[in-house]
Amino acid sequence: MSMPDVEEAAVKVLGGAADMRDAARITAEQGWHLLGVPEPEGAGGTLADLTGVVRAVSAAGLSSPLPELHAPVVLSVRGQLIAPWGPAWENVNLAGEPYDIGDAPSSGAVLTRWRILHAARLVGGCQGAAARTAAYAATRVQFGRPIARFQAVSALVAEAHAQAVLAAAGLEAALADPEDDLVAVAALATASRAGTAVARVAHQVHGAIGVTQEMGLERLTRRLWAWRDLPGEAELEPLLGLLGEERAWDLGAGDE
Amino acid sequence: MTFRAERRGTFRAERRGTFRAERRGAFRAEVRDQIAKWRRDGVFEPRSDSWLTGYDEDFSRRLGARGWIGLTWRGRGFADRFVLTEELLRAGAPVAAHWIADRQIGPAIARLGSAALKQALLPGIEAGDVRFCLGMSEPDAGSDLASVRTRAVRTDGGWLLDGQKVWSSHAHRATHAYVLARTSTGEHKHRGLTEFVLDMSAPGVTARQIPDMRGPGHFCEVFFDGAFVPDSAVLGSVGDGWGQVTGQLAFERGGPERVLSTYPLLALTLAAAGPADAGRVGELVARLTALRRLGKQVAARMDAGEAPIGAAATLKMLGNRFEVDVIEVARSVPGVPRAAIDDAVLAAPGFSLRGGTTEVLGVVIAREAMGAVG
Repeated sequence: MSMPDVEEAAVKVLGGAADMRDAARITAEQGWHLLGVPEPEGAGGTLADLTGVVRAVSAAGLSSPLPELHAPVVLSVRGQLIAPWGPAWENVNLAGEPYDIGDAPSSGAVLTRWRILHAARLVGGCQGAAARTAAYAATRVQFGRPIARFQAVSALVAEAHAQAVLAAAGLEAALADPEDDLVAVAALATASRAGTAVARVAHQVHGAIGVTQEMGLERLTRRLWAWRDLPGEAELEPLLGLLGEERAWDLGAGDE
Repeated sequence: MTFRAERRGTFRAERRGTFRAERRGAFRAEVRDQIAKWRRDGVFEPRSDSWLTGYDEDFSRRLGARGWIGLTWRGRGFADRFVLTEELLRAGAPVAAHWIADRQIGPAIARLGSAALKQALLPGIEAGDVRFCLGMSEPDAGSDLASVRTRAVRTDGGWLLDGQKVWSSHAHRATHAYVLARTSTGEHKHRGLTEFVLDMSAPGVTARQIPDMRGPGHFCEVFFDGAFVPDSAVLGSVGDGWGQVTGQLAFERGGPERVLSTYPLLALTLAAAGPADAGRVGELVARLTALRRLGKQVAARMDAGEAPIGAAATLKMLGNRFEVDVIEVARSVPGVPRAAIDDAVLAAPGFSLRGGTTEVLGVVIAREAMGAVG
């Protein structure tokens, strides 16, 4: 099975989940989260392979605790300690995904890994929403032509696409240096901002039908709005502002 | 069977490309050392927008002597040129004199030029002695480039050019010009265009500077009055100029200069930033990391033989926005030198115009986005 086949299979299996609990059960059972963990405990492969699965699942508007099974974390978010997909199922976020209130915030390698995987989650959501936006603009007809033929609309399509591309590039930089927490922070901050921008543009292009359950766009945008705040860019970007020129310039240069 | 059972034992860590990457890291270090030495020796002063306004023929010859012009056609490729140009732009080094030849016309000559043209020009470009300006835009053909009216008429052994080009940076001191001209009319406007390489010292060529809001500036208009171009200086095929020039646009738009024009100002801002500025400066750092990676991806695709027009347009649109946002943050950080801010402010209006306006890029990007979803 090649990686694209694994991604396709994951989307198919998780697409059949009855609810969030079922999605969590399926994810644990399948063991995709062991990608990027060396054998014999894990499945081998690379962290990049795992981000590919996370992206594909998210792009399909699906939820899965893949990042949390791979790297369980407690996050500091606006003064609260959040354990996404924590075991107690105490609360749910805007997208219906569970979280607990944790006691001690994570740090070190596990947090770095989670940030990269969570960035992949946002990248997938951005790619899915941007693709839907492009497809809708190309087919929805008003004033006798597809709305994409209006330059004001095509600029929105371009913006959504560009933001998804940028977030994906940020993720690739983080994967080039997966031990460097700061490039993971950068990737997550960029992906969070892209999530905001893509969701806004996607709804604008879709018009009123975009908010309906029938259209299905909200499966992506509700997730983007939930995911972008774990934590939001306002808590991440200050970590990058006082690095000095050399350190900032060398972020993500690990594969060179 | 679950994924876990099926996959066990079948993955292997990727080591592909590691050797090449290590060599590239060494090249970056070599470039950094040389630039730092030149800086220490007072060879240049850093400034923003140095790839357009930092014109220094001696500096270009220094780079030529190091073998650092023409990497893309001398067996090194776009990924190495990306590393080199990133470090030069980071330092704000004056690279304008050879920039056009190194970025797009040299590669076009290497790919499409006659043997005679390659022999005549590539060594001079590599040395920093042959300097190119671009003859694309005209008074009535800006974003609508296919509307060019400059005509080339067949004559003995070549072509005679008549018409006018505009916004040709540094044309008054360029040795050669790239000229997009119409060789036949009456058909669809995208057909009948041809690319030429013109010797600026040929009779019938006049270049005149157009002062801009900073002073004499770099802009010129160029007039052709029966200027002769030999057959050997036709680039590619007669009549196929449109397809060739749009391919060239990927090289024109897809480089690090579309992100880093104000990097010297960002460097000053990073040095001056305090805790109160950390969020806004950090946003720039995060975005820059992603943008530079995107530039690296574009360079890799060029090395793979592609002309990634959509990706290059995406890079340029986002990069130009970044370049201006750097100025806006710098304005608010105490201690960033006023002169460096002002220098960037006066350069900024051109960022999102040159090489294709943001509005035109939006159309190109949207087309790619819709093509990708069928």
